[in-house]
Amino acid sequence: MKPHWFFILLSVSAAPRYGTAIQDDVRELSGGGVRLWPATLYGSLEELVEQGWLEEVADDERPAGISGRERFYRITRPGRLALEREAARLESLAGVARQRLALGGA
Amino acid sequence: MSWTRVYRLALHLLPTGLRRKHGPAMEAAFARELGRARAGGRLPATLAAAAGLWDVVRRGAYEQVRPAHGAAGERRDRPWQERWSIDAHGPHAAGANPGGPTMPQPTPRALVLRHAASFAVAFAALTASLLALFASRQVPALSARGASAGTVAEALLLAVPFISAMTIPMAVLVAVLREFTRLRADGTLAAARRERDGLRRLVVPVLAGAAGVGAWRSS
Repeated sequence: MKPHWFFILLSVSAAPRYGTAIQDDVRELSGGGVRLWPATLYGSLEELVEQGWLEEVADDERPAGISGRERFYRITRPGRLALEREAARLESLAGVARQRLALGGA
Repeated sequence: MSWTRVYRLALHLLPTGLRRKHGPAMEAAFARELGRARAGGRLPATLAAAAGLWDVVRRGAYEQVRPAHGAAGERRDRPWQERWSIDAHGPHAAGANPGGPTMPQPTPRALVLRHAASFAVAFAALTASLLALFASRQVPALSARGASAGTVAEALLLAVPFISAMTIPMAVLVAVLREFTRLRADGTLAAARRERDGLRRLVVPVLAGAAGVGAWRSS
C-alpha cells in the first residue's frame, strides 16, 4: 500500500472527512512528515474510491452541522480490512526491527 | 500572473474528469497552502508554489499511465480510444467494424491534440527536473553571495528559456514515442498498415506538428 493511501485511510477510519481536513489530519498524524499536495490528495481519493476502499458520503448523510460543498469520504469495509492488513504488516515489521536492534546491542 | 492563476492553468495537465470534479477544491487547497507559506516570507511562498505545481505535473504524468477502473476512472483519452480503436480482436471490434477491419478516419486534429497533451506533460516534467537540478547547483551559490529571494527567483526564471531549448526536442521525442506506442497497443497502427494511405494519414499530421514545434523553437 502506498504510504499516502495508508495515511488517508487512517484519517477517515474514525469518521468521515473532506479533502482539506484529511490534508491537515495526515500532516498531524505523520508529525509533519507527510504533506499531501492537492493534486496527490484528490487524485488519491479518486483512486481509493475506484479501489472500493473509500466512498463518498451522500448529501443527506453528511455529518451534522456541516453545510457547504465539500465532498466527505468514509472508509468502506474492504478499506478497513486493507488498513488492518497494512497496520498488521507494519506492526510485524516494527517487531522484527526491535528484535534485530536488540540482537545488535550497543 | 498570480500563482493561483498559474496553478489553475497547470490543472489542465490532469485528466478532464478529475479536474472537473476536484479542480475548484484543488485550487482552494493550493491557495490555502500558499497563504500559510506566505506568512513565512517570500521564499517559502515561492517554494510552496513550486511544490504545488510540481505535484500537478507529477500527478498529470501518473494519471496518463495508470490504468482506469470503473466509471469513476474517467480518463481524458477514453472517448478518443473508443472512437478510433479498430483492433479486430479488441473489445470494440464487433460493434465498431461489423463489416471487417476498415479504418475509421482519425482526424489530424485528434492526433495532434493527443501528441500535444503528451508533449505538455513531458515538457513540464523534463523542464521542471532540469530546473530543479539547476536550482540545486545555483541557489546555494547565489545565496552565499547574499542574493535576495527575488534575485534567486529571477535567476531561475531566466534559466527557463535556456533549459527549454534542450527540453523541447526531448519532449517531442517522448510524446511521439508514447503516442505511437499507444496507437500500436490499441491496434490502430496495425489496421493503418492494412489501409491504403493509412500510415500516411497517421504520420503526416504528427510530422507537421513536430516541424511546427521545431520551426517555432528555431525562431
